Amino acid sequence: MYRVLIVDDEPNILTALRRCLSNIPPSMLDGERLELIPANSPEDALQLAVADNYDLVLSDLRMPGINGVDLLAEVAQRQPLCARLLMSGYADLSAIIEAINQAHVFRFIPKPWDDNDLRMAVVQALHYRALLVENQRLADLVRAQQGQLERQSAELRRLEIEHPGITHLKRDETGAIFIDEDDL
Amino acid sequence: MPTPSISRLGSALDALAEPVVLLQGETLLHVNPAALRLAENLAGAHGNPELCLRELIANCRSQDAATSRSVLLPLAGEEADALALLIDFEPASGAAAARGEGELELALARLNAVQEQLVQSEKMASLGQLAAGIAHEINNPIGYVHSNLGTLQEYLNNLFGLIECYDGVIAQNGAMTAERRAEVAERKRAIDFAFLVQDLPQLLSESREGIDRVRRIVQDLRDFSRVDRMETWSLYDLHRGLDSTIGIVWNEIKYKAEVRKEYGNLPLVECLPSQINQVFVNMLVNAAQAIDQHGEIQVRTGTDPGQVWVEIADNGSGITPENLKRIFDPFFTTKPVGKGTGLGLSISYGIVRKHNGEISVDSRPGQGTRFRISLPLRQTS
Repeated sequence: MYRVLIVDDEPNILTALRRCLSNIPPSMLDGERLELIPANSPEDALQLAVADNYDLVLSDLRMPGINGVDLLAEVAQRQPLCARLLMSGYADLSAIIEAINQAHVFRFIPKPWDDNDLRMAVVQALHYRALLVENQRLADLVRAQQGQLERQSAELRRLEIEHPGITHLKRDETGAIFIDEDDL
Repeated sequence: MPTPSISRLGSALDALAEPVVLLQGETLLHVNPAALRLAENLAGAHGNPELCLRELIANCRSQDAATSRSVLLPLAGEEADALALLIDFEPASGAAAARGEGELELALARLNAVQEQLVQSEKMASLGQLAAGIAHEINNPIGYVHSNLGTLQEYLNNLFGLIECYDGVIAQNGAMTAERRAEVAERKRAIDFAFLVQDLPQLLSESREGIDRVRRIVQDLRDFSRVDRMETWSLYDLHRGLDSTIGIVWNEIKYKAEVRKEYGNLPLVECLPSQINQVFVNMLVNAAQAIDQHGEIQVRTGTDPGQVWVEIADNGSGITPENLKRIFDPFFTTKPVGKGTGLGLSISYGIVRKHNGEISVDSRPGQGTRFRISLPLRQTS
């Protein structure tokens, strides 16, 4: 289940987005389904984002109180792995620059939007997020294994200092372990 | 000898299209290019332009002003006969005076046309500044209506599929076998029929609402941007003007302020509707821009004997006394470059004066500003 937060101050947009996005076939989402959570104001959205984790936030740009760029920048700070999409019916260059530089949005979606483009953007954003999550998991794993390796090699070094040669096995031609009496 | 002030005057005269000559007694101090051209034309290829000029001047001095196309003007601040301007000559004739009057009228008409252009271009400039908000206001409903239509298409495909399923039943003489029943039930489940039945009317009514909104905005825009020269004085409901103007600037206002309307009982007012609406736009946008975080804009109307008034008040930043003196000056603006032309209030002032009305302002820094526009009910031609 992917949790998607949709933010717009216009209720009719929220219902239209819900209709559009609930139509994404699960096959495109690695068999997962979308859970769509609507927020009718940026304040509501912020409260939800503080209380819970989301996989993706799709927000309008022009809203009362907090604009979409500030909202998504705040979300990015709290949930860096959450994918961010920004929508707007009108975007001058400065709005787009802010969206990229401050909120690091994955896609900028114009209004009116194309249903298929929007679905693709959501799917791609979720894939991208999955890659980030996987990337982080693998990096953690590598670090954990590296830590374990380091502990083991430190133990080996300690043994070698206490009992020189103990870490190196010598075998004779028959494969039997050869113990040199001088080393003992 | 030409003094510095004469040479400055001379270079100003050079820019004029009308022939002008500066005289001191019989001395030609300055002849501007237009006068020179005229003299050369009169003299022809072989004549002496200076002689022609002097002849014209002598003619002008001997004739009375009414019949002459040329006028001798004493220059202020100098001895009366020492310096004079000779303007506008063609060979004098009886019809000249009448023609002069016609030309004055022509010039006046041209001035009026220029002013109309200024009003129109200020209107377009303010529309340009509102464009972002209007685009947002239109693209929102278009966005969801467009998307809803896509959903509707899918709903319909689902319903058609269901009808096909029932068709299968009819083809078997209406025999609803258990197998068929299960197939229909399965299909209904697959398309989430129960949800579809509930959602479809909602989808349609929301879409209709969106289309209505777009239609209203376009109507408001058309009311507002009508070309004035085509417009005549007409009896107009100012409340309708206020409402459609609020519609146009709604996106500038809605995130900044609540609008409180206190409309009185207004009779129809004789005015140029789109110009009056332009005044309202300027007032409302200024009010919204004066509010920093969130405030209130009051729109009140009422009547006084023989006239009506409209008040637009905000509880925003207010105007300092030294700025208050200049707000109606052309090009005076405190807004950042690109946000205002500095013409809004000066043109609003002009429009209200043209309606024989009055515009007054009451402002306290930190508390807000109140504009009051009074208009007479009827224009006395």
